[in-house]
Amino acid sequence: MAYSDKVIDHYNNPRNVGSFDKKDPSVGTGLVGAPECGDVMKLQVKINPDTNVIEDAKFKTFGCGSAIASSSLATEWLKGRSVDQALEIKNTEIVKELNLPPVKIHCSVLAEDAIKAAIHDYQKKQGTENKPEEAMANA
Amino acid sequence: MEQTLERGRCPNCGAVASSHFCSDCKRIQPVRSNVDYFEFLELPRLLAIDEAALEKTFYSLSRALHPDYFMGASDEERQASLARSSILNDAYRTLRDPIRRVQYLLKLEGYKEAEKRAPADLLEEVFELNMQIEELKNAKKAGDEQEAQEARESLEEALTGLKQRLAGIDDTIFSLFSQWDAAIAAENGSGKTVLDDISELLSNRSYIRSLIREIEEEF
Repeated sequence: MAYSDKVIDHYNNPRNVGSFDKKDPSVGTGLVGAPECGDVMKLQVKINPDTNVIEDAKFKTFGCGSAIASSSLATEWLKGRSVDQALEIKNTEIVKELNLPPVKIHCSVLAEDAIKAAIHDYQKKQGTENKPEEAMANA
Repeated sequence: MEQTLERGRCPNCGAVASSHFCSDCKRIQPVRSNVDYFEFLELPRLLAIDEAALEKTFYSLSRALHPDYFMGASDEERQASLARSSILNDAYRTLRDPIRRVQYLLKLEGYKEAEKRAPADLLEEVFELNMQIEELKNAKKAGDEQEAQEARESLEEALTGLKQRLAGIDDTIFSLFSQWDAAIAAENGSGKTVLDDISELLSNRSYIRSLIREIEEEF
């Protein structure tokens, strides 16, 4: 299967590979995986608690070229976005940007899941997580 | 359990046919949509199956459906024989292997593999071991034999543990087979929880199998 030029570019020159200290309260960590292919993706965001803006993002993915490219692209998109804007990133935008073929769509889903997991982890640390079940109980 | 039988009218005599052959005129039947491998091999949708009996069914159907017997038959019948023989092989390959059998059953029951979430500690472990595999790759690339040897030793230990866990997961899955069969016999709807458990175990099993494969490739 042929990869698009953008996938190859991210694969050969992945952006923002690395990690932050996951105990840092301003860091949110998302670790997700795909059982079918054994891929694992770790994505971290560093958020300014005063502005709620993502100041930096890093990732490390073990998987195919599309999974690496999806998470690399995600970290590029995350920097400078607010938490709310970050949660709006859809896997379909990643598919479009990278020209992913149908068999590789799950890689973009994984990246979207990783973004959400990282942000939820940050919110949990900050105690600002929306807990629908509690809100329901208090209503 | 209600099964959706592969039903239709026999193109030859018009009788209602729900098997490989018409019960009235005995002609081979064309393949109709939604082939269910269990049904195709004349099995109920159970998991702890008699593998010797399955093999016998396979051989007897192989003979009955074999294209050699339909050389002089009509185009439709020759087509039907070819199509049924090919499905028969796929069905047998799928159902004789217990893991593939249960994966197939989950698919029939509407489970999707991608929907499951692995436990966080398993993902951490998979990630960690992938880091170690990468270290080994890098050490080999750099020609650092001592570093590579250290990485190899640590991965070797991990590999032994992973293999044991894989065997343990398989045993647990197989022990759930009879629970599913009992739930179907009891018709109390408790089969769903059994399948949920199996589905989760299979997902964990996939990660462990991938790791084993990747580590072995580096040795």
